[in-house]
This record gives sequence, C-alpha cells and structure tokens, in this order.
Amino acid sequence: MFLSKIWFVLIGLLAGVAVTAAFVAPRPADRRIEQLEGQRMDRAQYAAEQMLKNDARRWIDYAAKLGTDVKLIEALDAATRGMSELRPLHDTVRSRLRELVPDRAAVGVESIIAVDGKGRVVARSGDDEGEYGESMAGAEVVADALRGYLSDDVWGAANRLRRIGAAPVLSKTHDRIVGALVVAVETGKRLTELWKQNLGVDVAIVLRKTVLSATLPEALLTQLPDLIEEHAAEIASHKRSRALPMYMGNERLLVVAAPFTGEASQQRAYYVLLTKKSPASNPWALLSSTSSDDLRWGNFPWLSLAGFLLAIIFIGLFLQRLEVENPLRRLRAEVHSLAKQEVRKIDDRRYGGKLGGIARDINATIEHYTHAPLPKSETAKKDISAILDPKAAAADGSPLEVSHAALTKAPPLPAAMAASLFGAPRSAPGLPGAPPPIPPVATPSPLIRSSSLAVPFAPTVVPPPPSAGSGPPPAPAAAPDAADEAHFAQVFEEYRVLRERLGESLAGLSPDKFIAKLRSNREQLIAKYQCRTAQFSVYEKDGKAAIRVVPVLD
Amino acid sequence: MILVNSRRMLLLPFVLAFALGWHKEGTAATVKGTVSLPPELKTGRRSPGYWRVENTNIAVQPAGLRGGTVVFLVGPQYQAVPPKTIPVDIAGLQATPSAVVVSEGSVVEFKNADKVAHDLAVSGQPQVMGPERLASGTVRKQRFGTAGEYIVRCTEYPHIAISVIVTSSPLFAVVEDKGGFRIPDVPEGLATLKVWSDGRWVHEEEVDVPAKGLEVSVKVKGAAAAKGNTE
Repeated sequence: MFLSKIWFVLIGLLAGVAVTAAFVAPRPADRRIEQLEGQRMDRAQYAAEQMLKNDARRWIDYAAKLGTDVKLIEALDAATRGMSELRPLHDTVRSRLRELVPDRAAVGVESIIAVDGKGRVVARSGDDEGEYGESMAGAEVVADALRGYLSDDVWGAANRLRRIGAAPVLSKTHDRIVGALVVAVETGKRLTELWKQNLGVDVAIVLRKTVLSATLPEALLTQLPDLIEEHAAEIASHKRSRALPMYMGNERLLVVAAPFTGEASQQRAYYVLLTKKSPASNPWALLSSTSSDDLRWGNFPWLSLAGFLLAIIFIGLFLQRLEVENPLRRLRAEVHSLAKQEVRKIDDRRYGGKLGGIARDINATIEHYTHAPLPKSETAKKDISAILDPKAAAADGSPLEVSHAALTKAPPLPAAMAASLFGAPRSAPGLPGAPPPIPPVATPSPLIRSSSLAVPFAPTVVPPPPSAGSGPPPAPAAAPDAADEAHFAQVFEEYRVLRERLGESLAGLSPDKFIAKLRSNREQLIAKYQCRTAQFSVYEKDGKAAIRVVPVLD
Repeated sequence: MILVNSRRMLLLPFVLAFALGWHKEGTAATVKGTVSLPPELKTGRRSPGYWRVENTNIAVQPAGLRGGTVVFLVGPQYQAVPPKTIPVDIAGLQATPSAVVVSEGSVVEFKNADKVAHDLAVSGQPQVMGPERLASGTVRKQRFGTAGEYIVRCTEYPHIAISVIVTSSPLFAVVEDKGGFRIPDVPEGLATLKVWSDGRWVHEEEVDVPAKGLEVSVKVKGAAAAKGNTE
C-alpha cells in the first residue's frame, strides 16, 4: 500500500500543480500581452503624432502655396495699404479663394481665412463667409504669420477642434508681408476614421471633457473624459499617457491619450487611441475562447496526453495490483487453505501493512484457540443442571454435563473464522459455500468428548456457524416432537440400565419425572444457546451414571 | 584766526554728516534699467505647434512684449496706493495690456471689442473670478480684493491671458517693448527686484538702492531658472 499511497499523493500533487499552473500560468502571459498591447499602443500613438506633424506641415505648405496667388497678393496688399474700400477687396478675395479651393470638403479644409498685413480679416471661405473686417492679429498663429513665420496651431473654439496652418503672404516683389492665409482643417470624424484605418486602433477626440468624435459609440465612452482628467498631469509632463485600462460595458479597453499641440493643449484637447484588451486569461475564459481548431489532431498533443493519462492509470492499477490485490488474493488463498486445514497458520511474513496485520490477527486467534491453556470455564465439566438450574440439579441428583462439543457441529474454528472473515470459499473442494455439517452426535464419542474438552465453550465469543449467524435469529424453542420424546425415553432407559449396572439405587427414578426434567433442560438449553434442540447421552462418571447434553444447532 | 579756522574745519565733517544723514532719510531714488528676456519668452507663442518655419524671403520681425512683463521692487517701505479701476481691452483676439498691477480692492474692467464672445475666468480660482461669457461689445467689471497674482484667461481663445497682480505697492513698472523700465520714488536701501513675465515670476535678485538711484540690467535666465523660480 505504501507505493500506492505515494502514487496517489503524487497524483494529487500533480493535480494541484496542474490547477495552480492553470490559474497562475496565464498571468505572465497576460502581463506579456498587456506589455505587447501597450507597446502596440505606443507605436500607434507615435504614428499618430507623426501623422499630425506631417499634416501640420502639409497644411502650412498648402497655405503658403495659396498665398502665392497673384490676385490674393494684390488684394491683400491693397487692403494693407488702405488703398481701397474693404468690401470690394473682400469680394475679390473670397471669390478667389473659392476658385482656388472649389471643394474644401474633399481636401478636408473647413475654412480659409485671408488677413491683411494688420491682421484684419479680409475674407473667409467656409465658416462665416459674410464676416470680415475684424482683427485676428492677436491669434498667435496669425501674429506669427505676420512676422514672417509659417506655423501651425490647433484651435478649440466653439466646441470644435480645428488644426490650423498659417503662412505669410508676401508682396509680389517679395519685400513686404502683405497679409496671411490661415487654413483650418477638420479635426473630427474624418480624422478619426482615417486614423482608425491607418493605425488599426479606435480613435476618439476629447475637448474639455467632451468626446467630440470617436470611432466607437460615444455613448460608451462616458468614462473616457474623467479617465483622461485623472491623468492630466501625467499627460502634460510626458506628452502622452501610459496605456490605461478602461471598461466599456463588458469589454476592457486599453487607452492612450495625448494632447494636441498649440492652443488646444491649454483647452484640455486630447486625441485618444483605444484598443480592445485581450480577455482575462483565467482558465475558464481561456477554455471559452478556444475553438475547434485548437483541438485538431495536429494542433493538440492528443497522443502525448493520452499516453500520459494511460501511464498514470496503468501505474496506479499496477501498484494497486502489486500491493493490494495480489496480497489479498494470496491471503485469501491461505485462509482457504487454513479453512481446509491444509495449513496450520498463515505465513504472515509475506504480507505487509494492514493485510499483514490481518494475517497476524488470524494467526494469533488460531494460536489462542489451539495452543492456549484451557481456561477453567465456568461451564466446563459442570452438571448441566448446575448451569441451567443448580437447585434443580441438586434436588434431582442426576449429573448432567453440557458438551460444548455441540458447537463442533459448526465448522472447525479456523474455518469458521475464515468463513466469517472472508465468506465461504468459492471453489475450495469440500467447502461448497458452507462448512460441511458434522453428523449429529447421538452418543458420546471419543472424538466429541475430546473435542468438547479441548474446545472451551464460550457462547459469547464463538459465534454460531455462518448460516445461523448471518440469518435471522432462531425461532423460539419448538416443543419436543416425537423424535425428541423417543430420544428422552431412550436416554431414560440407558440411564436406568447404567445405574442398575453400577449398583445405584433406582428408587425414586420415575420415567415421567426424568423425561420431564430432560424436557425442561432441553427448553432451558435452547433458550440459553439459541440451539434447535438438545441431544442427551448417558455415560459413566466416577462410578456413577451421568448424563451429558449436547446443544444441536441445526 | 588760524585757530578759529581750524575749529571750523573740525566742525565741518559733523555738519556735513548731519546734513547728509538728515537728507538721506527723505531720499527717494529712481531704479531703472532694462530687462533681457530669454528666447523662449520672446517668441510670441505661448503654445507652439509642431512647426514654426521662417519664410525664405523676408527677415522675421521681433515679437512685441505686449506689456506682459513687469518689474517689481519688494521690501522698501511704501505708501499704499488706493484702489482704482483699470481697463483691459480685448480686441483683435488679444488683450491690452496683458498684465495689470492693481491695488487691493481695485476693479478691472474687461471690455470685449471683438466680434466673438470671450469666456473669461481665473482658472482654478472660481471664487476670485468665475467663468462668465463676455459677449461682443460688453464690459465685465471684476473686483480683486486679495493680494496675489491671477491669470485671467479666455477658455475659447486661451492665448488671451491677462496677468492681474494685486498689490498696494507703487514700486513697479511695466517693461516697454524694448525692455526698458523705470520705477521712481524708491526708498534708499535694500530691496528685492522681481520680474513677472509670461504669467509667472521669471527673475528675482537683491539690489541695494543708493540715494542717487540705480540702473540695473536684468538678464532673465532660461527655462530652467524660470522653472526654479516658479517652484
């Protein structure tokens, strides 16, 4: 059993390790996946930043190129010099802008603003086309352009975000700045869709805690502005956030937010890249995410797994056979041999553990019953009347001795014990499922006598034969039948003859009284030993006639 | 005669010393000089974009300081300036002046001459000046009762930022476009010269103001020093 136990402990440990590994092993993988997803978001954010930068340069150059148009130069120069009314110049510039950029939406331009050298709006194309005359000189990008810089900015006015490119407009002689052109580019749905297509991640644009545009349903991004606000300091210092986890319904998202440049950076304007995070890798989630393809013959080590499991099972069975079944079979065979009295005891050295203990117990019991000094049983060699009714016996004067050999009608003790322990042997010759009955003892025989003397009677210790012990308790003592009555009469006759032969007095020996006594003793005996009947026999004891009684169990 | 003259010669230093000492207590000097700002404070851009490229034909013109730089002298005794009303005009998407120094209890009138509305507020201090929309052509009067420095900013056009420095001291001067400044009536003695620019303190140094006045050349260090000052 030792190896079997060790094996089961090892299997238990293996199972524990497997369960632990199933729960713990995904975590490093999760961290690695998170790290990779974070790196992917880093790259996406870098790419988005580069696209913004490239776009900014593109729109600056676009504005500069528009500013080389002669008609625009002439009109802005005239406005700067104050040579003409502003209204006709406004019309001229606006018309020219429409000619130069006939389809603003196609190129993503929301509006173009032309200002003169003082920063005064001469004309607009797009938003507020009818408005002109006001100054924009204070706008930093306009001021820059009027100083000679080509620069970009991002504006977040009127709950809209617009990327700005501005360039100075030089006079035809290239010696003066006569104005500037400001191009305002859409920064909303078009940009997010383009980025999603190019970067492979979802995009959202947030301005002052409001999601202006997103490739995901904006209703699901209600947590996003608060999340960004929480990390505003980190974003301001690092120009981006790390990959932040966020829940959108049941889905986990990874979020990287970065500020827009220019004025929008002071208006809490951010572009946010979002990607769905891999599901949590607990064993159940992993199992639920597997596909049939994962279990294909080529993708799953079925052979190895089956071999491993079979090896575990076979080793377990082998150890069971080695340590349990084989010793048990041997023990059983030895017990059968013992029952058949082919051996006197079990070789308990062949058995270890509890089987060895059982073998030793059997041997000890056999030893106890076969070789132990005979105890002075209270019932040994006592007159039956003394056992059953000492007063009556004294009054009657007829010595009766109960023979415990009656129980020898049961199988011999080792066999009985073996039968009670292991059941009846199935195929042992001579032992067809129950101990062979011993013929009823009609007369005392040396065998029975020696047996009765040799085997101490201990009703409470020695159980009845299995047939009696395993079945229901015996029925109440049956009334003596004709055979019993005949037996009583025979006993009386034998008793009278023996007394007569021994010279004892026959006075007072009445058959009715004698038989009544036997009948009474029989009933008492049946009541006491739960036997079927009692067999009386007559013999000589110390020169006197005596009667022995044998309980008959079946 | 010689003796008399020698006695007079002996008394002369005491007389002069008394006269000078008496005069010194009542002396008010002028501190003047120039302030040189580092390039990052002279760009004219508080929030730059990705690109700022010079055109290839004409030299870039320098940016004006727009009155956003102020020199203060802290330490000497002064007579508190009574509260008054200071106007700030917002036109052409810029505020003029962009820095005002007012005494405690003074009122600043913000006039919006632009065609667009401006949402003015002191960011982070709504109890001082909460957000309120200033429609085109309207005026908002805001009282500043507590000494300190406040930045009033337009949320729609954040480049419009007005520094309001509340102090009862008259010892300050707004730096001109070319960097010059002049603070009159400065008591003689030790003082701390501080420079406010671009919405923060960018320079601080100890000066000893003599009776005849002081002329200093203040060189504001770069971003690192400015950061140190703000911290």
